[in-house]
Amino acid sequence: MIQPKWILLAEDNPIDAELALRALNASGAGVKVVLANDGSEALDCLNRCGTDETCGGGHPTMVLLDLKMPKVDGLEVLRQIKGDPRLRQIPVVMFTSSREEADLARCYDLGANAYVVKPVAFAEYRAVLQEVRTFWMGINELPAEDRFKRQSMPPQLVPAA
Amino acid sequence: MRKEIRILYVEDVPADVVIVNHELRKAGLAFRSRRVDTKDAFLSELRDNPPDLILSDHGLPCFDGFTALAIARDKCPEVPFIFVTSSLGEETTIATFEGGATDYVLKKDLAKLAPAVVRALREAEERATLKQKEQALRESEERFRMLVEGVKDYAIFMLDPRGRVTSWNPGAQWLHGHRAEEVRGRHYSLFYTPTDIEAGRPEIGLKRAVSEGRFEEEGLRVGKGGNEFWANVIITCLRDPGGKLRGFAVVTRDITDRVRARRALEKSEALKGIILETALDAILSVSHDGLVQEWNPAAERIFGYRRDEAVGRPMDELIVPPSLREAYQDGVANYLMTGVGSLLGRPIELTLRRADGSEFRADFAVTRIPTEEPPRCTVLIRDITERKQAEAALRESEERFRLLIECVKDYAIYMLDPEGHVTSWNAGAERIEGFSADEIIGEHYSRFFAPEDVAQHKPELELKTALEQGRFETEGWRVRKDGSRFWASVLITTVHDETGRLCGFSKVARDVTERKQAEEEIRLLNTNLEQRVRERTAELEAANQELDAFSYSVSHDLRAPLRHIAAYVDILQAETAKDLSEGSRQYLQTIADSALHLGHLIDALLAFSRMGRTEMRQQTISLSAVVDEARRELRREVENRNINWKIGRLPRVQGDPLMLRQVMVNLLSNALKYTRARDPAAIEIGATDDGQESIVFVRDNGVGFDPKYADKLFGVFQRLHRPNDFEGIGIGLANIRRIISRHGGRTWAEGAVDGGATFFFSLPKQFKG
Repeated sequence: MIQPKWILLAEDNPIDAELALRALNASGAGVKVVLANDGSEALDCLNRCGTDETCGGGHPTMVLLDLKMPKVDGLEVLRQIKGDPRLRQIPVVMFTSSREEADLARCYDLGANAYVVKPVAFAEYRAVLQEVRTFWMGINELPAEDRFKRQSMPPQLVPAA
Repeated sequence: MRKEIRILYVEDVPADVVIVNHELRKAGLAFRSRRVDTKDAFLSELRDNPPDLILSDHGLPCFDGFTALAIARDKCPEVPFIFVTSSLGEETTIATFEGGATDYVLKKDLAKLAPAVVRALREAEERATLKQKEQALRESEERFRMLVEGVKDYAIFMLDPRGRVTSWNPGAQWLHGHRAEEVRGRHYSLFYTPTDIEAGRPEIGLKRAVSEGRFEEEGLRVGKGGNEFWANVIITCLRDPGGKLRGFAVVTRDITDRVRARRALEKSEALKGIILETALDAILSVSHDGLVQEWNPAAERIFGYRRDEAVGRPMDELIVPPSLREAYQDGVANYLMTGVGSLLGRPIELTLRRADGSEFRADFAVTRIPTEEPPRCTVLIRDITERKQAEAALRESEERFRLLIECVKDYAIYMLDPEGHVTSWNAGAERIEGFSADEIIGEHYSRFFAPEDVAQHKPELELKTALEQGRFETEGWRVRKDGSRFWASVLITTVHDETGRLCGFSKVARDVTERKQAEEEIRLLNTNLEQRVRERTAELEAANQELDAFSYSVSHDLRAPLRHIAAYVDILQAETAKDLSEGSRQYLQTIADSALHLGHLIDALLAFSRMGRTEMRQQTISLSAVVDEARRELRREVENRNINWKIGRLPRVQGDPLMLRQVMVNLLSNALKYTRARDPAAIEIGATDDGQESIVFVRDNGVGFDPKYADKLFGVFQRLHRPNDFEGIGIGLANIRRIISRHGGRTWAEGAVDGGATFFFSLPKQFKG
């Protein structure tokens, strides 16, 4: 059974959400993106996967997770995904404005699969999101559970300043 | 001339009395006479007017001559009694003489009367004289006997001509120990020592007494128990009136004590002589009129006059300086007149003169010899020149020291006796402790202690410790006169005299209350400081956290709208480009560029902020390797450039490798940027070492800068060039300064407009970051 591929985007800022959707669909890839407006919505969505049609059926192919969100922030969502045996294999890409090394380190510690700083220039922004989409959506097999554990520091997708 | 005699007549015929008187006056006798013719009258006359001569008739009518004779013989037997009668028979005559009459004269032979009377009177007188002599002798003998018997201190005994004891008085018994019966009849050599007996001393004594009448000697005698004593013995030869030797009287006196005293005296005299001769002081004997009588060797030495030069001369001429002579003579004169000598018995100090005229200070003491008349004096003189000099030096030194001590105001300096009583007190002590010298001298020094210290016996313990260790140093609270307290630094030192005996303690105290308070404050400050450091650290941590939050906020919240601006400009450009004029498109591009630049500024500011907060690692780094890495990182900027690199010998330094790499990248990047117009560009990297720190420089031949802005270069966002000429945001040098500061080093720059620039930084060799 082939599950349809979709992306869960957790983003509280509607402009950022619009820009992200625009970037992900820029080249007409037509990938399904489900938007969660904050951390708790994102968690609700993940917990209802497979039962709720709005969630596209099955687990998302990738989670794009903003760090700074009201109610439940990105770090907490990450911790719950990676702490839940049913969800932990979902690749989580942190998509944030923060260049703080502390945030980066914390996210990798909690099992984030990538950490992407939102570029200011929209061209770069678009390019980065398309690279991320292409990379994670292109992988047919999800990374083995032990893989991201060993791979403590995957390449950081940060454009040069 | 004979005195007038008194004659008593026993006669009944007054005419006969006249006749007899006449006859006696003819013979030249001076007399007064009375006549009685009764027994009663006779008796009363004998009693009231004792006569020198009684002339009596034989037969009276109511009295008779024989009765009168009997009465006279009874009452006054020494008075001559002569019968003057008319007739006297043979028997009567015999009876007359038998009755004791002196003579008888017949009235018819009155011419015989006067001679008879004269003879009778002479005989009576002779008898009276003899009788007196006998009486005197008797009395004398009695006295002598009593004397001899009573004398105990003298042994008095008699010897017969051969030397045997015939009498022995109590004194002899007391002195010799023998009783009279034990020695009577024994030879007196019993009292001599065997040595003297062998030498024949007993016989010699007797022979000398015989030949000279008297012999006196002193010698040892022996008592009964064999004890010997010194005796003065006088042996007198006794002869009868005919000159025949009757024996000897021996008087012996114990003079042991006297002999002993005399011998002691002799010995003492000899000693005195030696003392006189060997004394170091001049000893003079001076007569009452001031003449030198004795002059000992020390006097010779001190004054330079020989004894024979000095004796007999007036003392004042010899030794008293002329200037003092008058005063001296006045003193002597005063003494002679009043008996009060200003010098007598009191040693004084005066100036005396030597034979060579030099003068010196001397102790001078005159003592009157009490036993001699006219009085003599002994004068004792000691040359005290050296002592005076020593005294003067000592006094001067003591005076200086005293002045010093007294003037010291900052230190209480005082002396204590061995028990701790104050004996001296300086101005500093008065100032610090508040007591005046009058108030405190004699008081115990525990007065300066607080009651609780006294209760703990601290004053005694301090002295005890000082005594054991020679000194004692301490600090503690002391009490002033007014009861206020001060913190004293105290040093107690024991003081000993030259014989090592403890004289007391010297005490030096200083009021160090201010220092104590300062120490107290420092201690308090230190305590507070720790507290404040903790507080400040907490504040700083809080501030850092705020800064973190701020940075986070900046990086997150500030960049989000910026990104949105950039994004929508981009979208606008893409979707509306063909509908817009060239001018509008240019405006959109400017918005896009500005948003991008603002993004860079924010990123740089965040990086700069992170640099200050990032924890530093310390390790030894090769600066050469750092330069190589930096050049590698900048290789793209070197492409198509003509650059003369000159890299000198670079040191190994202590520091954070990433930060120092950042420094080097920034410096080289700057050098490359500002030499862009140079062909060839010249970039030199070198280092010097001054022992304390390594100084690294990067020099270029670029556009340089105006030296008056040299220090502005290192400020955040400070730029000396227009952005159009040289890209960059003006934070590189600020980062360099921040990193080097965190390494404990310095940064500075030299340069000139169009003259190139040199940037320096130093790194300490021992950095304790």
